[in-house]
Amino acid sequence: MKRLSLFFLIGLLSLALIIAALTFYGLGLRPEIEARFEGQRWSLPAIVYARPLELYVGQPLTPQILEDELLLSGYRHEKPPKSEGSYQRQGTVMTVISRGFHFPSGFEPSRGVTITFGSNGITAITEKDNNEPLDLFRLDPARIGSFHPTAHEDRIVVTYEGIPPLFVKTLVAVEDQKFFNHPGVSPLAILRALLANIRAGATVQGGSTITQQLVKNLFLTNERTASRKFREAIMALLLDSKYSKEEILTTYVNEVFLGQDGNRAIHGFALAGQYFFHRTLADLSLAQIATLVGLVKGPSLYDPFRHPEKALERRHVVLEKMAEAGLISPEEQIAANLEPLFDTEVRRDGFNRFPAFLDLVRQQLASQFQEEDLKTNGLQIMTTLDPRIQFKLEKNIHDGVARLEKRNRRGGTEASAIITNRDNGEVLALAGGKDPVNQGFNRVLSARRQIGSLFKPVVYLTALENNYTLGSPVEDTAVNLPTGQGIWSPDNFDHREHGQVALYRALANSWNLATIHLGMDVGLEKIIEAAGRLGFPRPITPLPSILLGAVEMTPFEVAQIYQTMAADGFYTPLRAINTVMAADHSLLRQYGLTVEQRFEPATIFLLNYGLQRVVAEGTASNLQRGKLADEHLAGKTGTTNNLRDAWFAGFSGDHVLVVWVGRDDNKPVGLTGSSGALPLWERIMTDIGANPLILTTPENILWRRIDRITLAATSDDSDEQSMLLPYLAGTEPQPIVEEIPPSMTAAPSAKAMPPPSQVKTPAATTTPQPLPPVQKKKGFFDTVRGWFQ
Amino acid sequence: MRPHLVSYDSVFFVLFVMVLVSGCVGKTVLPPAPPAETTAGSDATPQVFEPARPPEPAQPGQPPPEEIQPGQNQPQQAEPEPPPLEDEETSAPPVDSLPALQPRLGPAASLYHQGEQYLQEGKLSQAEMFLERALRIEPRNPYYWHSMAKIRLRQGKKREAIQCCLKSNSLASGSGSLIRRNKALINRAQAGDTADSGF
Repeated sequence: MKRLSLFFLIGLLSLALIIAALTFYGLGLRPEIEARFEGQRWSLPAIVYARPLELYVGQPLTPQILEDELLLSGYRHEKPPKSEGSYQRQGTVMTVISRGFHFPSGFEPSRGVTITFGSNGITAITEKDNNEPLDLFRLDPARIGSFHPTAHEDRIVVTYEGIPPLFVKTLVAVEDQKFFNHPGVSPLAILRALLANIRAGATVQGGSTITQQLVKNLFLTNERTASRKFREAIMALLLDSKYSKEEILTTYVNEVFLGQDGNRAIHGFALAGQYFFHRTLADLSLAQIATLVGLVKGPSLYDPFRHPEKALERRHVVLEKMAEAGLISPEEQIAANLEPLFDTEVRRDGFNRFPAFLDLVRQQLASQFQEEDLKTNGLQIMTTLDPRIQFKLEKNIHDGVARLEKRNRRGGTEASAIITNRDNGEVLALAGGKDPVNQGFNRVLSARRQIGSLFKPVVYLTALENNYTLGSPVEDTAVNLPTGQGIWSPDNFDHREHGQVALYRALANSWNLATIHLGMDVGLEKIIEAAGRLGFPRPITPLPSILLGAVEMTPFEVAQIYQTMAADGFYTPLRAINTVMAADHSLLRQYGLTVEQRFEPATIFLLNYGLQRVVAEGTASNLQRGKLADEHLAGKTGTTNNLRDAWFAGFSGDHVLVVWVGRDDNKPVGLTGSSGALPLWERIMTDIGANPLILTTPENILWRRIDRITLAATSDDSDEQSMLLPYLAGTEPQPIVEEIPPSMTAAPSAKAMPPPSQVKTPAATTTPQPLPPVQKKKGFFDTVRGWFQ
Repeated sequence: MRPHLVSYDSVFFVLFVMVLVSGCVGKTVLPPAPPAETTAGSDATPQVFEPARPPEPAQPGQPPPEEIQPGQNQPQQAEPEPPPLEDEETSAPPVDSLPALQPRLGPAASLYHQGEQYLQEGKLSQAEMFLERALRIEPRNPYYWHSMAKIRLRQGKKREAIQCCLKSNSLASGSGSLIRRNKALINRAQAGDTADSGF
């Protein structure tokens, strides 16, 4: 008896020791588990959305464009549409059931609408259920990317309530039948697996519970050792003791790895449902639930895209288990087995398809958010990207470069382009190179190149601000300017001098000599200052060569400058982001539309009229022979020394588009602005659709005819002898004395008009007129205010 | 009693108990409550299954608090309420005497009306979002720009309000009543704190 009690004591002691050791061990693991479970479960990358598509009566949209947009956003074709995220196209009528979405302005629930198209766009929008007409409706935006942490894990997180009960039951039936009863590990299952493995002489069966699988995924590496198994069991027990079954299952549903999309890992059933079927969990059919649950066993082996027959086999097994567990009737099992793997044509959506645009988003976020926030905090970023325009831009840049290379018989040509909204400065699309997907270097944002004649509008704008008119005579004659390195004697592109020309013609034809005369007269400092007001952010060294564009800019910077011109002299910072929301959809930051008038409307109007002449009769007159001939487009060609860079920047009634063509090694590309960049520009503009550019004529603009040769006012109204030009009131050529409305005389610029006689004097034919000192001491905003007094 | 062979399950039961014990060490709660309750009810442990928290505005790398727009549903408490436009009696002509504005509205009309409604209710962030949408559809509608100017003024952004008026004017050719309203709004903005107005 004593022996027995001694044994008993020793046994008890050792048991206590083991308990103490294990407790100590468990204590050591606890913080790791708690840290992972009680903080943020996953690093949620920021999600980036395209702009939501607004649908309204009168919108120039075709069923095809809408269908493309829907497919890009992961909608599915369904006959008839039954649930969120589906659509049906029947000729000119489309039925769409949108997905509910948390917009920055609040949640907008799913809505079924019927959209009717006519030859000019949408003719009617009605509610699907009651045929009530709607005048406006917006779709939930496409998810276009995310800022992954290094692991490139992607997931859509759901709550327990978001998981359909049948899904839970299926998962439990297939993966861990005792899940709701065991304490985190199932010894019997382990034993059974052990025996099976011993019998087979290899590992054929795993005894892991859902909890153990979760532990393995969350905390452990993939090694198969006894110590890892032990650790896994202890952690599973700990997890189970501390958290509810529902919590563990939800975490599992969100964590489990289910597939690979390029370098993006598909985690969690919600994302897998979206990725494979374009459906939410609640929306999955019986067979689709079986397919997804079956994937757990081998995400790559049973990948429905890559191995459809294996996926079908596996689905069959899962359905069998569902029937065994009594989850489905035999009839349901038979029906589900007959279902095809995919019930709809699943196309690749737009996820992470636009790396160049995402670069810009990241760059613009960088000033307010740290990289870490973007990778972990689940921010939702609403951008300005227009996927339709982006696709068209990419395709045209890619095909256009190929055409140029074929024609030019040389490779190595690159191109980049950016499209913005004319009035609000939103960046709609950008191409960082000819290969949109596998791009490394983002030329729109990072490639600083000389801009050549794209700089000339800055010179002419400054001249127009300083009492020059579009009809002012300018000398296009040889110049020799002393510089630090000797005498600079530039030439015109056609190696000719054109003598005395009207200012607007010098701009339209991009004559270098006239521009230098003009620019030197106006003064380099004023021109540089104007470039700054147009939105160029960096200092420019005041050398005469800047007049011909010896200034390096990125296409993005060029777009900013032309944006200010296109928006009637109102500067708006180009932006790719509208709002940023936190993971709970609360508004973190609203970027907000801002405008700032940087130039007088009349001056900008005159410049833009001049830029329209570039297209109408100047270096971009090729556009007059194409489909865009009637759109009154404005723009400017640019070519740099030895044909290294070819540029075209211009705008329509609704878009600003800048195209650059050149080589990364800065060797000659052998193309000019009009032979290299303009054809691309034209195709892109045609493809995205151009509304005519109708300039709003300020009230202080007068139209006058001047003689083509003498540039003096004339009463001749034939187009051969004379031409009609707009003038700022007070600067129009005499002798026709117009009665100027009293309201116009308030503008100080009217006082600064050159004496009419000077325009006609012979002296004016040799040098640009030294004009009276500018009397605009009052400042620009006083001027603006003056109009309202 | 003869000690019998311990079953596999009971070994794990012991393990389970140990784990429970280890789980409770350091906690003030005695005796150990059932697992679910311990975690959910204990004050010492933070809430377990919270969805990912929105980052605190004050965290480094987040926009500074003043940059954050008020939540959509919060009334603008702190906002110094300028008198409604109709009560304007400063240097500008009284708006009452101006002819009623009859805006020319296009496809974004409903957004414009909704935005104006939010403006009336003082939900400025909402109003701004609706007017931005309207301007995306009809970017050159001067009436929408005028609305935007009113929102900016109510937000206390006088300088931006004036700029929106200038933009409105630049597109308002021929609409005298709109131009007069823009002028009145500019005068009001200037009559306010000029340090902020940029003039």
